[in-house]
Amino acid sequence: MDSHDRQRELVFCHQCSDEWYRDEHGLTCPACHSEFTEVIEPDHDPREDQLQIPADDPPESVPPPLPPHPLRDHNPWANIPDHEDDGPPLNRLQWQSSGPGRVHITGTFVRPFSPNGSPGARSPQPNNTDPFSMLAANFGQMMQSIAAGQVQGPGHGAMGGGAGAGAGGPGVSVRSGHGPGYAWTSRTSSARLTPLTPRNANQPQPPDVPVDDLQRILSETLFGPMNPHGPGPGLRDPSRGLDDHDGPFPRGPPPLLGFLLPLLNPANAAHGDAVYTQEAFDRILSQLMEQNNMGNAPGPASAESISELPKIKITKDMVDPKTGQADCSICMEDVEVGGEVTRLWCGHWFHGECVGSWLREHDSCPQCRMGITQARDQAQGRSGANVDATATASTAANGAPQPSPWSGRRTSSSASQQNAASGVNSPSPAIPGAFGYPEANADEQSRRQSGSQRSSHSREGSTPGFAERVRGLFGRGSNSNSNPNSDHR
Amino acid sequence: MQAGSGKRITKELGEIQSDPPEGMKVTLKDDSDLHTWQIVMDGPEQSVYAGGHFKLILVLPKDYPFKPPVVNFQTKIYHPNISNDGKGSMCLGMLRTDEWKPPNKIVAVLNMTRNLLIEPNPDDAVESSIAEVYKNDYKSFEKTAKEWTKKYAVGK
Repeated sequence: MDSHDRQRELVFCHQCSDEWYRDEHGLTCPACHSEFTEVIEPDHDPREDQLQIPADDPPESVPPPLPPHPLRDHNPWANIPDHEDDGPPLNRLQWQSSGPGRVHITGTFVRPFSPNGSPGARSPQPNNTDPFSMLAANFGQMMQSIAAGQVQGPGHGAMGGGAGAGAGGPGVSVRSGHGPGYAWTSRTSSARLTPLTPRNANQPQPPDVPVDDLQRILSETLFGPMNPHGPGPGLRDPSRGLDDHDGPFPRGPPPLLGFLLPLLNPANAAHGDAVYTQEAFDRILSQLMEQNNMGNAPGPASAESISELPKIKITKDMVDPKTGQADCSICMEDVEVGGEVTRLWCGHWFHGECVGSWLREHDSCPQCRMGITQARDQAQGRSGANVDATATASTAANGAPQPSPWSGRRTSSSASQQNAASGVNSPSPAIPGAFGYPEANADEQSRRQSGSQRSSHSREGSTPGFAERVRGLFGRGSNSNSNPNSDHR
Repeated sequence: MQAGSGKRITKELGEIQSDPPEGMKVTLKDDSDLHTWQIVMDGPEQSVYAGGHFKLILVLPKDYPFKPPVVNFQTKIYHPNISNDGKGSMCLGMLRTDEWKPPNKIVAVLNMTRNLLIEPNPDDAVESSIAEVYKNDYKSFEKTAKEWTKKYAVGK
């Protein structure tokens, strides 16, 4: 890189894609006299927009075909109008099929070139001291582009044919190029060149998918990881076969046959999750059953969701009115009025220790199987917080499934107001995240910390004494809830 | 809740022994082992097993009631849901790991077992060949079941 080059500005003509140095020809194109030109800047190269050849945008998984070279990203067609122009390089390529899976390409690459970096080279890049290796790199890159189907232009028909011939075999293409003074040979496998990559809809699409790609897609679909049984003997994966042997002729059948054969073989009549025969269906079914030994049993509940469960005191209303007794249905031990139990969101209660042992293995109520995580989410979505603010316990309980005393109020009070109320009524940290609107709740918690009970009151201006009313509503504990004890009797 | 597990088992055993379900005698196989129960179940009158006395072993896992008990028929029985392999494994929906829930009691398990003798469930069979006979040729099923009952479950 010499500083002289760096200072000179290069101008690009959008009309004819010509390039020249600004200090020589100014801003008007010397070739077509168009004024639709642009100065090329390091961070914006209009040629990249102009040319639809994403030469430096190969799929990520493609290993660089050649060692890094200063001109690796150089676009050899930068100065060649692509579509209508019968540009020389592509048409000069000679494609010759020399057997299944073997394609011979002979290309002559001619372009004005000067090693001194004079305008004739039309290359803004420096360091072009080794013209032959540069040309080889350019050509190799061009071949990559062709094989990857990224090139549009008049040459494409020829290329498609060439690729098609290559795809008839294992996809190993031997390509060689030579020109005056240099020769170049490349032996590449189409499998490496055209991996499956997500379609980038933001980029111009190749006009047609090369047969290489299709073959690979088919073979991956049929023999890929989704089919655990793999192809039978003779159903060799064409794309994998490439790596196994160097010979240009595949040992398996042609790809199309390889695609059809599995369909005819009942044992292989699976296409991912789609099956074509009863046998294949049975096999998949038994496979699934083996994988899911536990059937539909839910997995463990998170420690967080277990710890979030409200602890409540047994009240007189929770024991059997006739016997005056209640027991934890897990350990079957009696619980006394005033004893502390853990209540799930579905309303069933157990000893905290008992239900904890169960929930750590199964996210479901031992009684009704309602998942506590799911139930919590539902509870949050439906009725928000239901605060059990008895005088003795400032713990919160969420009786979501039952008609909540809140439901009447909800129509007139917003969620944040509810949370405000909960903040008023349970000064001790209530259930984190158990309220319907976590953000509002977090907001409210911070508000609470700043001692803004008054502010929540003020927002409840239309209902003075709101907190007292809430306390009154819940002071009766779970009266409004159906007796959970009766549920498991 | 290992300690609680023992308490619950004791409690359940007490309840069952003081108020045994119809046609059942429940004892501990070994008085020192709360977890292995021995049950003698009479073949229900309305079933093809009437007249037989079937010996069952019910084993409570260490983490009962969080894991279901395991019931085995020690007496050979011709039944679609009880294996005919010397183990006498019984297939009962509520005893499957993913169906079991802790509040289920042993007495419920025993009652379900009895119901299974009255009404086999051929769609969830262990012995598919017996299930086929039961579904397609009930007369033949009845005959064999009664023969087996007489042969293995009477007078022992």
